[in-house]
Amino acid sequence: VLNGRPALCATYEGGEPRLLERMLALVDYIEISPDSISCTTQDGIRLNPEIMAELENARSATRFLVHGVGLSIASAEGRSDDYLRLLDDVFERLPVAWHSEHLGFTRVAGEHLGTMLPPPRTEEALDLICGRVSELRARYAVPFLLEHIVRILPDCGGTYSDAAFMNAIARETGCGFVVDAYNLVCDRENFAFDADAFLAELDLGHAKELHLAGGETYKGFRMDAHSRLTDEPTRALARDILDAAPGIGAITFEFLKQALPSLGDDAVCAELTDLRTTFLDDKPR
Amino acid sequence: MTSLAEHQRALLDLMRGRAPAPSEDPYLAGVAGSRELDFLREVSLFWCAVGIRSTCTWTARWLDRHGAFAEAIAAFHAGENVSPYIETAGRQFLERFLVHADAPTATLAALELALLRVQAGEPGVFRVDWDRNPNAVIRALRTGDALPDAEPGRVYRLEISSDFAELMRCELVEAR
Repeated sequence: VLNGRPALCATYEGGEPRLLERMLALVDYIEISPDSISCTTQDGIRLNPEIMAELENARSATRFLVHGVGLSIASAEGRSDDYLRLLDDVFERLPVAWHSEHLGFTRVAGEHLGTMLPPPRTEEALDLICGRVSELRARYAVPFLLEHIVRILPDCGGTYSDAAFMNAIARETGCGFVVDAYNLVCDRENFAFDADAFLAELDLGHAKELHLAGGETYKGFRMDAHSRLTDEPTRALARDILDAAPGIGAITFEFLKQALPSLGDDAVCAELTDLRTTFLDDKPR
Repeated sequence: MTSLAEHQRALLDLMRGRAPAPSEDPYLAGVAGSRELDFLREVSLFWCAVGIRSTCTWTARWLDRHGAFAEAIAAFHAGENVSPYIETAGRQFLERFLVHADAPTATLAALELALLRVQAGEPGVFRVDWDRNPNAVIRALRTGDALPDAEPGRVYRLEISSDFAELMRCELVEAR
């Protein structure tokens, strides 16, 4: 929290230096995903040196929130060593305020799903995830947050509700939460998920970051594609979350680099300006 | 209830269409054949296509122009353990086309693969021979203009290396 209000943050995946320069005037933090700023080298997967040069040049103007995709924290077989190596390198080179991951798995028995699924909310999954969260908290000296992910398959259930499962992880490990308003809108539209009940049960004292995004509806499914600006249902839910979670330290607008040709830099910057005035009661920096 | 590993393995098998759901697990039995499972496959394929389009731009555009991208990406997605790292996934995709029956497709894939290797720090010179002007091919793919035809009797030799100031050089090497 900066000066008593949440910070504003936006995604950056590299290779758009003019957009980065404009965003730095509008946001307090930049969200990076180690997966997205990596490249393939002869020595394996490493941080992309050109993108890292851009980010290191920006470090005097901002701090970074690290948001991972590839850790696969809920894989029974083990989390990704490649991802951890990238994370180590990011922490070595950039000022990171905190980092986060999705509460899901992307890999099974060595095979990549190409998407992400939530684990069943069982004692076995809880123990496994808590062990990995504790490992991350011991490894890096900044807070670690978990984000609930969108459903694509019907709920696989378990012995905990969605919120109770996250509460148990936080209670056991001391981690925080990313609350993603757009994910909840997707689940509400796609599966009639009761987002209000989820938020009422979730211990929002652990909520440290709010995510906002937009996306298309395809074949009747609202897609978690981060390809559009935020819409009113997402903003309305975000307002409810902010009212109920005063400890939220950052609001992050997430957009996909591949969506930039259709979104346009101007629209992204206008969105950030609008989010700042709407949610932070503040003028552009 | 099945263990976490069994649950995840069963979902993977359902997603890949390899095995029916275990009949003793009502959740997995419900997922099998559901519209959500079909959608999950589409989502995975969608993200695969997004990654390949951004890494293998010219080959993807070439395949698009020939109405072959959708089929190519579906075959790739079904047939490979696609890396979550898009440059590695791009290499996997391009390597499949090196022996493609359509020579220009194979040539374009070879060019993009060479560029990825050079960007990854591989030393040496990568050579790709074209039966048509590669500059004209790239220009056509960029602008949407008609693709150039093969030029019988001509070979354009494109060499790619990090040792070259402009990364690539091209010369007309021989008449066949």
